[in-house]
Amino acid sequence: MEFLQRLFGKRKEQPVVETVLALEEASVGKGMSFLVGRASHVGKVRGRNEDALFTLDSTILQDDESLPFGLFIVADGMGGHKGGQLASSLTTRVVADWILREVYLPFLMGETQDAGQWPINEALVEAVTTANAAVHEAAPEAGTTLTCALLLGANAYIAHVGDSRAYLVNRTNIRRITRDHSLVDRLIELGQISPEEALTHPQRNVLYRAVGQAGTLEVDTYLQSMPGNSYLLLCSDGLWSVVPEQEIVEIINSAQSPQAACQRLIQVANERGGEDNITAVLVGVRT
Amino acid sequence: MEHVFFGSDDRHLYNVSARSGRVVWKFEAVGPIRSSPTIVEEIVYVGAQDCYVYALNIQDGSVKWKFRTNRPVMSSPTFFEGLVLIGSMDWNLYALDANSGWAVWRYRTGGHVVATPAVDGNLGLAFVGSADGSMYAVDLRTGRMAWKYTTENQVVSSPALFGEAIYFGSVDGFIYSLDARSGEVRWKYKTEGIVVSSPAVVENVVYIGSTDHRVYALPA
Repeated sequence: MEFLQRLFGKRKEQPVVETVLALEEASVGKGMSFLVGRASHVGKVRGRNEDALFTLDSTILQDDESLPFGLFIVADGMGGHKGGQLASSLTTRVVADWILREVYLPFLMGETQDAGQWPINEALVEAVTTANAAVHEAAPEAGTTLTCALLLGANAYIAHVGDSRAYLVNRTNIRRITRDHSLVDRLIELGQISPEEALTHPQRNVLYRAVGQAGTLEVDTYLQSMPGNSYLLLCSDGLWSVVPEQEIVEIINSAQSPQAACQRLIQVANERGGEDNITAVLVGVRT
Repeated sequence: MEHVFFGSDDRHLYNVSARSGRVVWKFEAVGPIRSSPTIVEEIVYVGAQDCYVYALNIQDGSVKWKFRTNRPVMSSPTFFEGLVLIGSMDWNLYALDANSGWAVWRYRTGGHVVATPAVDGNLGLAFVGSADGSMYAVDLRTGRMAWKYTTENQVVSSPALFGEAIYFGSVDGFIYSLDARSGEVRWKYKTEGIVVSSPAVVENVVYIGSTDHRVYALPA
């Protein structure tokens, strides 16, 4: 098992600059649509933002029935001298490029699917494997987490490595979909520490799996059926390590829009110290 | 109005009024349809001998999507949380995205898959038999095999789920009960003929026919 240690560097407090991105809303025809928000912030301690994100929200309207297709990625880089930035942005671009070429474009081209095409799970794993090799070559000392969700209508197909997270959120509850590939999560599984102790554990940033590592990378995949009026939240540990899950539920459900919710989540994380980069992508599923 | 949906060797899937017997619409495939349709939220899913899995709009029989496997499809679809699970003579069990028909994963067995898959949502497993003689449990999330149990001959019987067990027959003449979680044999019962039919379980009793001309009722 290869452990990757994140590198910390305390810097003077940075001015908080809101990342303002346009709210996208799709509401056409019968069927389902997505409401997407996203925001990323350097935090109040780090000198640079090593998180990266990608969002694509599209809708195919056919016979007055809409089929939304979305691709959403959060990556949290690690490694000194811009290595983390390179790892997260390269991974995000390689995975997005691969999925769009091998899944999205063929999907656009016709109604007939066929056994010769990549199944979604295999496509996701192949995309992340390709990114792993690219990062290992470009920045051997760096690595990144990756949480990638491909949404086809109400089905979310997720590929995951590291300790960024995907959550399913509804009006009252939140459920973590992904499992962290971190030392502290293993210790929790083994019953040696509690989830609360993990938040302050000195080795809470140690990952045993990350994109960019040498050798074979095992990629977790998940299927999540999205109920109507639920949300899919992808976020880096700069958010989930300082904002409790129930508070995340309340912020999402009290916000005017997913975009407003993302900005509020980042604001709250910064109010709690903002020790790490903070990234949130929130997809509301509307029926 | 109630309708009956069925496929035919004349290559059509029929939607017939249950009251009058009148054909409401019919859909023409390229090959015979021996798969039984599954209907979920106004979509009719069915396999055909022309190698395709079809998703048809229930209102008019128009094609919503179609997915081409590499061999004929005799298996019938099972729907579970946005996935359409179906076997093919190309040896694969497929999980298709119900919205788009895109394959989510495929699991390749060692023989034709003509049986209909069963799903245990709590365990997150799909169960299907193969002509390679094995019953497979496949993880719904990943498409990876959780366990397999190998009988002495082909498994074309579709498994029934009851409690924490699955029940099915084999061409080796046995009726099997396996633990759904582990795949371990709970019991097996030898009939005097091959078993190609699929069991029904009612009130702790497993009912299944054998080619020895008997129907068996066994305690689950």
